[in-house]
Amino acid sequence: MKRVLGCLLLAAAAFAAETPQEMFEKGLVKERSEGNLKEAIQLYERAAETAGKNRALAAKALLEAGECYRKMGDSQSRKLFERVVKEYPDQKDAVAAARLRLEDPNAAKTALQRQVWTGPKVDVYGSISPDGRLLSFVDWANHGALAIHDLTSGENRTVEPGGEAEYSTISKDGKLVAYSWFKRDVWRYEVRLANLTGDAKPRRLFDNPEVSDIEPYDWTPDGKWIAVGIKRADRTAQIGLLSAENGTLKVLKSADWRGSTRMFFSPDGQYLAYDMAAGDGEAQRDVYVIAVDGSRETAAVVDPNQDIVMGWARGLLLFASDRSGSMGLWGLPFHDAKVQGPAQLLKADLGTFESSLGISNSGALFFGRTGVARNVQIAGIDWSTGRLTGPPADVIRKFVGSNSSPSWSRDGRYLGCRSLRDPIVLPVVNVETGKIEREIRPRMSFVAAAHLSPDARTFVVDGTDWKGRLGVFLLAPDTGDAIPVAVSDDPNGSGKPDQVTNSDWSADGKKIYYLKISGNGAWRAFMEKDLASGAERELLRNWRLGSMRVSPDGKWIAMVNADSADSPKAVVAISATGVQRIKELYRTKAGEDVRIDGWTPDGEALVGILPVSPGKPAGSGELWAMPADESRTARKIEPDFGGLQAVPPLIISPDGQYIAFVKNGPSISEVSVLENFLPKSGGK
Amino acid sequence: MLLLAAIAIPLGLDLYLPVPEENPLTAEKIELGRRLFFDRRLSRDGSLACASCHDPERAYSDGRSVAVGVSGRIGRRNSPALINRGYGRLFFWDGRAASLEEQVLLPIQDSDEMNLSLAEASARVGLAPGEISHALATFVRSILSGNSRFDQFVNGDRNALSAEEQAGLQLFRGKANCTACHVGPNFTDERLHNTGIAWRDGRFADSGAGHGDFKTPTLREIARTAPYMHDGSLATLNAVVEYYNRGGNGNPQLDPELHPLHLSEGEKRNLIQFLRSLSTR
Repeated sequence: MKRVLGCLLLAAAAFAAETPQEMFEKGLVKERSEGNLKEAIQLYERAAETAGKNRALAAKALLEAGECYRKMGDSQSRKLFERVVKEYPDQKDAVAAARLRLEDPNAAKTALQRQVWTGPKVDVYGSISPDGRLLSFVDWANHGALAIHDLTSGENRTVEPGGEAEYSTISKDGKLVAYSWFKRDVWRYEVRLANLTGDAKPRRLFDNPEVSDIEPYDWTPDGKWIAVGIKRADRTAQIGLLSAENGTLKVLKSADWRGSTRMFFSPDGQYLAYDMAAGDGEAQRDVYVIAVDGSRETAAVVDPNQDIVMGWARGLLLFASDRSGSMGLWGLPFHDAKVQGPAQLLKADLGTFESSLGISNSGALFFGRTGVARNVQIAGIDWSTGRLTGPPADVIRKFVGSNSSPSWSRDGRYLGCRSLRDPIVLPVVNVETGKIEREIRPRMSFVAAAHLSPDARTFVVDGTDWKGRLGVFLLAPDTGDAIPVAVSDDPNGSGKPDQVTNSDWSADGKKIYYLKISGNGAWRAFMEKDLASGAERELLRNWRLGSMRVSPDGKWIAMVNADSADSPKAVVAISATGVQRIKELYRTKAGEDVRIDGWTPDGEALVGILPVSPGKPAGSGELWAMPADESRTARKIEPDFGGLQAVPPLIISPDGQYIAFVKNGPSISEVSVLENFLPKSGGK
Repeated sequence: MLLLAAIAIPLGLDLYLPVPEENPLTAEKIELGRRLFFDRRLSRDGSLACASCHDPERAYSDGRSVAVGVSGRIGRRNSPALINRGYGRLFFWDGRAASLEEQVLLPIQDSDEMNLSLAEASARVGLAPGEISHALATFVRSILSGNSRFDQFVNGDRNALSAEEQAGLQLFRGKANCTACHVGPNFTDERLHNTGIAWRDGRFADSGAGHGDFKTPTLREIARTAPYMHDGSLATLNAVVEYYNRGGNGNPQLDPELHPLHLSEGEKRNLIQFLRSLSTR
């Protein structure tokens, strides 16, 4: 018990010893996710004071603090901007942003950024209508229907129900919407068109078995062509033009495995601007402009900063860039296939966003983001009583608001997690000191789940590598290179590949377990791969397998198992060493579901028995400790988690004394509009 | 616009063909480059032209294991097929040239190839070295291969490939893991990989770009470009598939994408059938 409290106290002490960078990032969360400008200012100012030789950070922190004051209408902002100019002349981007604020206070007053849509329905797969009134979106609560949100009335209406829409774009005359539509039966996307007035009449525009994914991004002004991002069956990306009249596809450019976040036609329809990752597995992007007749391409914004295409307006190619420290909006004069002059900063801080949703005819820029702020916490627990032994505490103080997917090292000294940022980072924190021992930046497109290795050196992850392969990958500790353990495959050419996911380590770190799920849903196989020999073997196959947890001693693996869709689910313990043995720990009764949370130090599988009947709320089930040893009996635990607000599952430390979990914070989903940001005269 | 007027992009290739701003693609320059490409005056003894090792009848390769230069000098590497190089980003097997304009002048000067100084070449053909470079690069840029049965299949003609070829395509993208490197319209990632082919007796017979790594070649017209690999050491497509099926030659820098494939005899046949569909004749 003393160790528990000691650990948490040390963790609290570590909080007080935050680095300047951590304070700065926490300030960003306070400012942008929580809207708490006063606390953000305190954090920024402390970061600036303690930054020492890190002058870039100090300047950025002062700039951010100044921005907060500016948002509050406090004249203190001017003093801070002056400090940046005077004290940090070597920080050119920060000085440029500060000067803009000082020299053009009018811009600060007139450029207006405001939220126009928040709430659970917010989604950023769509685009704005030319009049700035309608926003297409995916209504996830309505099974992925394509829908339209009216920003004036706040009303939503469905365009096409009963499917799985994704990217959509509204035509320049506001009459049509083109959208991607997932076809689950063949596991690929097609493009559909629908009317926005009168009868929607959804109809297929493009479908090709050789195109697994296609994303419509923008229309030419004459409504004849739609810019699309394509993912071929070999997983490589292309940029193309789709005829709105007959669905003919013209491929402009192939781009290896790197796709674009968005594409926008120039106002004359002659050019298409897009962004693309600077290299394999890199998050940093640059902006290019390609002629729609394929005659030329211009590297418009290529530099070491993060550059995201946002659209076009008044002769300017608009892009967001972090070149001044935070993500600002910049305008690049562009005409006749050439950059005509230097980029100018139009808005110093757009905040965090995922992508541009387009620009209305009036020159208003719409952009948005989705998600919730989340962090990883730990708490001590006594499994004999089910009670917490101390208050929960944040354990990872960097990347606050984006941390999830915790997992423990074998000795319980380290906790790894996934920080869903751009780029994704996998930090490993020493639980006793709060110090981040290492950060691995996986060279992957996406990481769905990360599992720290028993020796805390690296991770095995479920996700998509930069070559677009879905699967389980081992990360090289030094480089973050993703080494395939098992990847999804489509051996029968059915178009529905077998998936591999739900990976975890054996206790000794020599093997990796994972689930293989058949593309047709007929079976799931529990697989084991020996890392030294590469040998694979199937440990169990059934209709349903999932929710796997390896016991701390490595002897048992608990998982949920079912023979068919109609049969009861069983919790089984599979011996992981020697002769394979399967022991059934529990079988569900009518109206029950089960989940495995982990193992106690005494070799008991922690099984949550959950009600599925509508009358009982989710999470109101029972928690049982079910020993793999037949000589012992199962016992019910009456947990008192003291309102943890944890997102299941709880990840139990190897010694059983702690639980790690994800705590969700406030929603950060929003659509914003930026108005009055354009200069009176643009590029040309 | 000049580009579109000068050449037609065949089915399956990108509409955008990268052309350096300083060397615009024109019909006149293609023709000049074509004449230079077949001009034996560009070799020291007048015995060889570019086309001697890059024969149009062999998809601009030469059928030998390694190139043979002036005076019968034996080179180290196989003459690569000059197909769709306008879309390339690295040139030569070891990727040492970054542009076609740079690449085309080097074999002229190489003592094991054409062995002629640029000054002498310039004097012989009456063009400045820059003009030779621009013209040859433009001609090579115009050598395009597309509209194969594979391209027709991908663009909607689902009968363009036989059942065996379609099964081979599935293997190509799946179990055989060919698309780890041979991707996109040109079937190359334009990157360098160590496939172990240069690993002999515990060392690299040719270190390539440094660690036994060589550029991924295109697979377009592959049925016409035997023998294979950077050293021409594999005589047939059968041998190539067998090589990859066993996971390549193990060595300290072997690309992690290589591993034993466990292909059956039928799968190997289907894979080869598919590869043959990438040729236009």
